[in-house]
Amino acid sequence: MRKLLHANFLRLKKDKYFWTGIVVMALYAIADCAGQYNNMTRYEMTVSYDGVFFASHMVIGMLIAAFCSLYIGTEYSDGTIRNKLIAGCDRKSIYLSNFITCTAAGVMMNTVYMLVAGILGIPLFGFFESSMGAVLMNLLNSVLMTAAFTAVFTMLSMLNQNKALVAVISMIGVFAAIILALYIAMKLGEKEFVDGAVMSKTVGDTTTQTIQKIPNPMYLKPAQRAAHQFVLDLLPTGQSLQIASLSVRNPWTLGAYSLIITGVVNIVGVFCFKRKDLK
Amino acid sequence: MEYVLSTENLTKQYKDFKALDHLTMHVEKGAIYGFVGRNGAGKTTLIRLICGLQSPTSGEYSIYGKKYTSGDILQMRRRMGAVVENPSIYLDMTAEENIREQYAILGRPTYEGITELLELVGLSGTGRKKAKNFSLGMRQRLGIAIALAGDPDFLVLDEPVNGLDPQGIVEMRELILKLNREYRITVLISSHILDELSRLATHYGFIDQGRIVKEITAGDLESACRKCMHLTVSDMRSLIRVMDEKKIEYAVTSDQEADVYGDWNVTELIQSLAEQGCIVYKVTEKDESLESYYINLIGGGSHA
Repeated sequence: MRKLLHANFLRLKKDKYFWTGIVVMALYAIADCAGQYNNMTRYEMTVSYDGVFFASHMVIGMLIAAFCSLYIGTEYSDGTIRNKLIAGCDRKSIYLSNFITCTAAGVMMNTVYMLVAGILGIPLFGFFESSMGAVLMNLLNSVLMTAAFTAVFTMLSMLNQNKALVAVISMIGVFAAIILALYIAMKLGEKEFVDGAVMSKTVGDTTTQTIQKIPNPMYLKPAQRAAHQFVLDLLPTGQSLQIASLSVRNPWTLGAYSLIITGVVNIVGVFCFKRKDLK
Repeated sequence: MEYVLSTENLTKQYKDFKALDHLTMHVEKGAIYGFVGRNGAGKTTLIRLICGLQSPTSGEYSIYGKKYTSGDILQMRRRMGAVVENPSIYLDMTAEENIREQYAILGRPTYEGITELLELVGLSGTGRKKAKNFSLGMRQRLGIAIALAGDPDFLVLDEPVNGLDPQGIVEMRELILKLNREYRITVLISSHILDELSRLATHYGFIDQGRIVKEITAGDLESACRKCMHLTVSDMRSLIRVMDEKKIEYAVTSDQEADVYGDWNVTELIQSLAEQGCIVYKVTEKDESLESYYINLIGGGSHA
């Protein structure tokens, strides 16, 4: 495993997809800082550094999906995975070394965003408003979420030898999961009561209007609410949405779910990869 | 007899198709084993199995005496190098970077020997040129360099001359012979280019429909095959008359051409034909031993 990791990181250093991801994240950090600064100065919007610092989590899933399918897919398209097997490496080590390398690449891409956002953002927006404990918790969840994302896309890439197909499936999958997370978050954000009927009462020359609050039919019942929150916490895209919007409700649960996803997906992935016929 | 590779009733089934059907073969240490068969006969499937890319449906194989199910098989595979179908190389890397990558996979402590390896396969001058800009022959040689990175004792090459130009074929042949003779590497070459294989192989294994039809050494094959002289003459009737008189075995191949078998005196034969007024335009030694042997073995309707 150590040898495979060494070889993988040697390759990562020269990998154009990895460096493209790094550049994309750096540019995204610059663009986000500039955009938020514009909002703050021109439209007098309140912008916190916390929001800027964690904004990359909205896009990291897409980046990991693309990176995993291309980095691992190259091993199949160039046929180099055969060199590892012929050299006597066992399949579990090959699988897990690819997972670890892709996770590290995802974390590095996110770190680059945070570094650039830190350098530009702190002078513009000040320091964190949240407690350091909350920030560190979010960072820990961010790493675990990256691992969960990577586990899913590593499995897809390792079990399918068609690089282009995996890239397409991964991108469609991550977009679908983002839309699902947004939909769930929207449902959970529904208010319990909405402004309903307007009552007018005229006494003499004076008319008094009273807005009556009525129950929101879209508001989720407790059981539905718990189910929706569970899915939002479980989905890596749901976690990324919560981290990016600084709305994490159950920080420990998020981390635990990421660990469970990573573990289960890797076990299933290694099991299937061990039985896979390679060309 | 020490075998580098031996298989016993090896079978591989893909859904409804049996690619290998109780295949039994033995590759002797030090041999250049020519694995001959038509397209789809099961050559690449066998190579995929012994390289660990796929698992057999039934039967077994051993590398250096270790069964594929034993825990030591991964250690035995470290003594192997292989180029399966297309060369396995990172197209976005240079030749040297590709070998460095393989050195890292193998856990070699230093990058010593890379220059010599590139020289051995004739790629020392490629510099910063990326593998995607290499010719097919260069890629093939880089694939072999990667296979040699672990100093293997056993090299497996799947159709190594496929798609190469004549110069590339000659270079590949010389490289394989050098590896076998100077570095004592046992080589298993699968091919359907019989002429090329006949210049290399010390042993042959003929495969058809997933089964080994025959295993034979190059020496035994040579003695089993019949050489002949191919004659081009002006008058076929005269040739037939002379052949019948001298009781020499022959086979007419066209109006002016015939294959003549056995040992006979060329001067005498040509004089006899001249007396009959028959001019001999051309006499050539015909040595299609491997091809004819293969056709007889597998069947005339097949193509190698």
